[in-house]
Amino acid sequence: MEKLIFEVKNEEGFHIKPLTNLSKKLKGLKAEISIKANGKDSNIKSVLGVLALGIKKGDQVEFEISGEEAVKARDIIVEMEKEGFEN
Amino acid sequence: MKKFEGNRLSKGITDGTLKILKVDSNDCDYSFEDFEKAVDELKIKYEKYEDDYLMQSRILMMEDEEFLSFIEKEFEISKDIFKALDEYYEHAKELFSQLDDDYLKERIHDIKDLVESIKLQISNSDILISKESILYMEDMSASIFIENKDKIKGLLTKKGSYSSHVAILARTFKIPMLTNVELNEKIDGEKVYLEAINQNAIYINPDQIFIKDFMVKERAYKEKVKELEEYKNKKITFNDKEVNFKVNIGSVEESEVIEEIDGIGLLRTEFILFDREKAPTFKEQKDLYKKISKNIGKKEIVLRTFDIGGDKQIDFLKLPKETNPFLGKRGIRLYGENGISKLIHEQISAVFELNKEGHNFKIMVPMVSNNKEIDKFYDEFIKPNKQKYNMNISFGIMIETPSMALSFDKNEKIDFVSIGTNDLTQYTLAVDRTNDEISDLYDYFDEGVMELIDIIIRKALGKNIEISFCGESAAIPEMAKILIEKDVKNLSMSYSNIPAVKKYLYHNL
Repeated sequence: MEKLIFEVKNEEGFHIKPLTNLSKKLKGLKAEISIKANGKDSNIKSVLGVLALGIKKGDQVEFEISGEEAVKARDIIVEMEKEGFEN
Repeated sequence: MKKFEGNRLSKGITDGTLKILKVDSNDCDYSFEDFEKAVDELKIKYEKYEDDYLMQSRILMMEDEEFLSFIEKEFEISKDIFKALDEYYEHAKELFSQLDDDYLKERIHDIKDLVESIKLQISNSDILISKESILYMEDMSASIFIENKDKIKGLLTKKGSYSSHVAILARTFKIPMLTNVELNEKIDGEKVYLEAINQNAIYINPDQIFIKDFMVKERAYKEKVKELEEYKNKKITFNDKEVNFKVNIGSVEESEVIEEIDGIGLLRTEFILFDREKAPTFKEQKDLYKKISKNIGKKEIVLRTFDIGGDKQIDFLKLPKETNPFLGKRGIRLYGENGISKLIHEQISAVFELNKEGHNFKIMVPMVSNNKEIDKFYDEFIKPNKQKYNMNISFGIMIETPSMALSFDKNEKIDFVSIGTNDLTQYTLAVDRTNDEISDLYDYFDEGVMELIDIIIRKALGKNIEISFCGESAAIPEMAKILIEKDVKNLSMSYSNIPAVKKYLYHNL
């Protein structure tokens, strides 16, 4: 299992736009990803679940990645985080 | 000829074919497969909008396994697919209501829009919107509009508000839109004439004379809009000095559509307090101001502290009703009240913090009647923050009372004044501006009022106090001309009035 922890830099927090961008890139990968913040967690595939975490700028988020292509998925997330999931 | 009236949300005039889009909720025989089919169809549609993250996010939501299993489970129970979709919306609403972030809370509208789009797709599995359509829906979904933008000539809805997503889009793309329109299905497909300029109505089956007049009006309006567009960004100068055109706004939404402006000359902040059960938090205030500032590229914003009381009542503050509210406790007079004092403290701190972060706010106080009030406000709200943040902020007042018009120049604390002509006219003439019986007395160009304005301008220029105009009358082209000739360099008005004022000044200054 891969783990990633970082602080959200997006002004408006981690919501639909970053999530949409991220999900597009991760599509088709054999990986299970969960996201943890503010003491709650959600599968990244659950849009409502992720939104309901209410992740704001400055919050700590933790990604847990497992599955065959976990490493690949982790690299994608690391890469996207650099640009604040904006692209 | 039949006529149906409504309220205008976006100005314009056009003819077209009426297309009534209706969610058919009477027929409950839809199966889960119908739902799946609709979702697939919508996904194919949305996939075309590769660069539109709103459309992309809808795909994401429709691929969400939790969403699909939720609908399936609810459908098992009720055998009603629309009810299942409504349940999902309610479920989302419940989840979102626990969030303390207003921006995220607002995302509930995206869920609503998705649910309505799916319902519509199920009940009209082939939504064919032909070219040149005037669309009617009970509640317009933003995605339907985005998908069919090129075919839509006009919009009609039963429910809608000025700041809804669709209304903002309609104004941005200059598509006429009316709301509060009641239509029955029988007229679907009819040729209609939509006039959202003065009449704010649609006409069906008019006679030849009407059609001829309508065409003339339509052509004239379109030419005018095109012509005005050319003036929107024209520079206006007087004695070789440029006149600044700023915008009056009172919502975040408005800040999203204004472009190429010299700043916001009046940010009415009361909108934050309307329609809510408890006071906003410090963070909420700060986030909203920040959003507006970012939307206009961090240009200068004159933030007016909460102007409440009078004709603007705030539910959660539970202020007592007054017999003569315009002369009662309003604006700065309320700032000592329990609860309100805290709101103002947070408002001012938010602005200081934002300026520290590189934003460009000024602070302006409404409804001042004497210099003691200014000094008290300064000592209580401005001075402590100046020390705390070790920085200066431009501070000024709105001139709305004759007493301030005659005495502001004796105050050493203020850097600028802005003339609010609505109230200044009302108080100078002792005419209630909301009373139709005496509306003929309410005259912006009254000799006495103009003399008072002249005094204010001379005093300000003499003392090097910056002066601007943010009252509605600045948008009367003739008034704008008089002010500029008196050496006023800053005018602030509604965004939509700027082109017409500039056009007049361009030819008459």
